[in-house]
Amino acid sequence: MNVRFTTPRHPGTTEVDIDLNRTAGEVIQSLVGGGTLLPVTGRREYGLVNAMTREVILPGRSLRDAGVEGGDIVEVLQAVEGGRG
Amino acid sequence: MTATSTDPTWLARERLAGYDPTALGSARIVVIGAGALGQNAVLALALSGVRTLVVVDPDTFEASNRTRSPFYKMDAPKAQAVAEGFLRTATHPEAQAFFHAGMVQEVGDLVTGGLEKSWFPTAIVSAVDSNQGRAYLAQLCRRFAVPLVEAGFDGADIGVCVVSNHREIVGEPCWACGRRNIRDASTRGLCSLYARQAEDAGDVPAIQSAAQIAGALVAEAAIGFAHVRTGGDDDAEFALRQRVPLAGHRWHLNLRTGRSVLARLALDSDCAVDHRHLEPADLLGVVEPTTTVGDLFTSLAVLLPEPEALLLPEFIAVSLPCRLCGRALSVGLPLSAVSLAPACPAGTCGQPGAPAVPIVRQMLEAGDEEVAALPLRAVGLGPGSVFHVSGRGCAGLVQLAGTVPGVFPRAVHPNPLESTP
Repeated sequence: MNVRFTTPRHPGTTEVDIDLNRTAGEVIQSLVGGGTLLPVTGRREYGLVNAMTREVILPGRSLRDAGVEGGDIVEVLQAVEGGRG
Repeated sequence: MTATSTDPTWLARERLAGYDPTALGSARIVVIGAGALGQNAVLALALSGVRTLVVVDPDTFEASNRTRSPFYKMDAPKAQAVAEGFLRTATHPEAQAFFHAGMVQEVGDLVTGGLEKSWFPTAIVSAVDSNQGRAYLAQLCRRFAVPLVEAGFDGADIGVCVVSNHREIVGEPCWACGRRNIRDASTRGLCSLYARQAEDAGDVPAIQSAAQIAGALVAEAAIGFAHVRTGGDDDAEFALRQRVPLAGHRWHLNLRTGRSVLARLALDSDCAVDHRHLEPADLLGVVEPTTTVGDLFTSLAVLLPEPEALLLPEFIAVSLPCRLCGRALSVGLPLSAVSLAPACPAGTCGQPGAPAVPIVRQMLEAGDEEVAALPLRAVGLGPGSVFHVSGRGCAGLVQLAGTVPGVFPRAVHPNPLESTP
């Protein structure tokens, strides 16, 4: 099933063929593995957001359980740390 | 002439935007972390008319901080320099600032006001570097029902998270909900060390423009909490929605693309943070801090018969062996906040020998001679600390006396003539 991903850092959307039964955590891993997202580090972590409900999809929850359907847009929320410098 | 808080011209424009000078005059904002984000937040709070600020940071300024530090002062302790900078910049005519030049884990309960609430913060701003520190603050704020405003950045990417921790909002997610790496041991230790590690890894800790935007966002949320009035006809959720619409949300924006994602936090049943609030009704009483743990047990006898055990909120590293010489090093911090392989200060190591046995405690028992002679600080207790105590047929919470104005140094205006009307 195709799902479109969008992130504030990258204008536009990336269409990804993905099994909706996969969890948000697995989807993030595959987006990182495919080069869509920069690697997760101690300072950079991601979350997914259902663009329809505007709610964070917990890492252990499947996209289908979060109400995502084929063709939907899922947004990538980047949790960033580093408050100093 | 300097304006006064009753002068109608003071904050005249801001009043139109919903700022209430009375609310700002009673606001007490605690900023944990005085780096790029913390300083830019303090700048906005000072100019906006907030009266009382508390700053906590263990580091001193380095030359590399200059480009994103509005209150930069070479080699000065950041907490003190920023508290003084607040006084220099503040528009409230009776501005006051307190600081602690150490780690927040040393004074966490104190800055929340504990359970007795003779001193309480309007909001705690988390402007720390590591997720370890953020997780500590998330747990601390939830325990004591203090609003938490958090932000961070990665180059031009900014993340903000606001949680009310309000007692009347049942099932509110916390900052840690849905996060998986918050107990990553690799980020333990001093922030300056952490910043160097990030630099070595090729990360950009901060840029000033991102720090300025993030600082403004957290300041506005903290000011929003100062305006929340619950009770009467409004329920807590309605009042929060009106004054702090970002509460219960995470927001990610990129400064260069202008795009953002706003999302409601989702409650995580597997969250690493305990979501329960401490209940003021469970407070048995307040006792003065004592010199040693043994003395504390003695003084607890006024609150409950035969105090037997004291349960600390976290595992405390009482002492750990130096990784070079093996000698026992006093720590007195939550285990989650310290390096598991500490070393003696440079040049003070003794002859290498068998490593001392680590002493880590969460439960302190009245008959434990190993801890009875220890100072309270060695087991992570100090003014304002709240802990669980049990004795024969009785149990509850106890708070050690102390408030921020009574314990923390008060910052002095660096040029008093500037503040004279």
